[in-house]
Amino acid sequence: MKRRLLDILACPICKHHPLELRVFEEKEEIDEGILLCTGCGRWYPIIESIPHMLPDDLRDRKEDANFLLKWKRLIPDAVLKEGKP
Amino acid sequence: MGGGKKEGLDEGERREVMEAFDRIAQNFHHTRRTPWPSLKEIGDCRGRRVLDLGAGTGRNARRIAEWGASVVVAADTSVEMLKVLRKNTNKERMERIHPVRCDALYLPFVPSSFDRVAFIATIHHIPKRENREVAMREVARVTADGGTVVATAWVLFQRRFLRQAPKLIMRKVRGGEVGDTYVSWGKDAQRFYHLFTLGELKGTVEASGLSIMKAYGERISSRVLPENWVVVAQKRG
Repeated sequence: MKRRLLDILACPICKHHPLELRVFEEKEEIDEGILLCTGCGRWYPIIESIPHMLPDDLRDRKEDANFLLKWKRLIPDAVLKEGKP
Repeated sequence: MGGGKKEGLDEGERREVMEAFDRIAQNFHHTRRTPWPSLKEIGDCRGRRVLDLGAGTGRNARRIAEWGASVVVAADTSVEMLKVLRKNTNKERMERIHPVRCDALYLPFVPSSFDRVAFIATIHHIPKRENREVAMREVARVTADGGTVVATAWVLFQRRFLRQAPKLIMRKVRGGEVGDTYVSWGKDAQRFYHLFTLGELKGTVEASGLSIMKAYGERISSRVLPENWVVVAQKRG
């Protein structure tokens, strides 16, 4: 994901903008990271440089859990404890 | 809109569509390379921000980037499709193409983000009328005033489905909607389609608040009956 995409990205559910970006890995683009919605508390993973902005019902619990586990150290506590969904 | 997860928004079926496209992504690219002729209806893209909604493996997004768009967001629910898109697009074009995994019913963009929206051969993969209307309203929301939207969908009464016609009409009796069907991709996947009448596509566009500029049937390989309905609309400020 390129940083300038943040100019138009909003939370798909509550439409809050801007989203907060935490970068875990960055080369030419942001390869891995997380987008946080301070409006509703949801989080969205950036995996292999693609932001995954799905609504709750299309998300995959297992994928979400694996992502959180992989980056546990770098993810804010608030997401791990209270992050939605 | 949004939020309401229960009525109308059938989770199972939308997930089914997403997963079917994940399964066929590798193969899809080989047979779906040329952009749709109706893409040109989108107009001058130079310096514009363009959304390609239902981008698949990028047949339209790559062309839009060639036409000089400053930003092309390639949106799809299927992440496998987007990975194939990236793999098959050169670096120079990828500078301007931004893949985003998202759902047409819940677009993750601020209002008026785009000057142009290509909603091509996508709306017919959304189960349920109400969902299709939500998606079109989302398209209208993210389109800037004066912006152009091109929406296309498969035609209900076209040659390849004529034999199925009675079944398609009877679908309603069995809990679906007139025009609902599945089209297989080899042995790999059954993909949901809702086949449209022109009136229905126009109605969906009008209900979103967009103004229709042009609406017609597009023939691809058939000589008589059109395969696609094309609606070109504008957002009036």
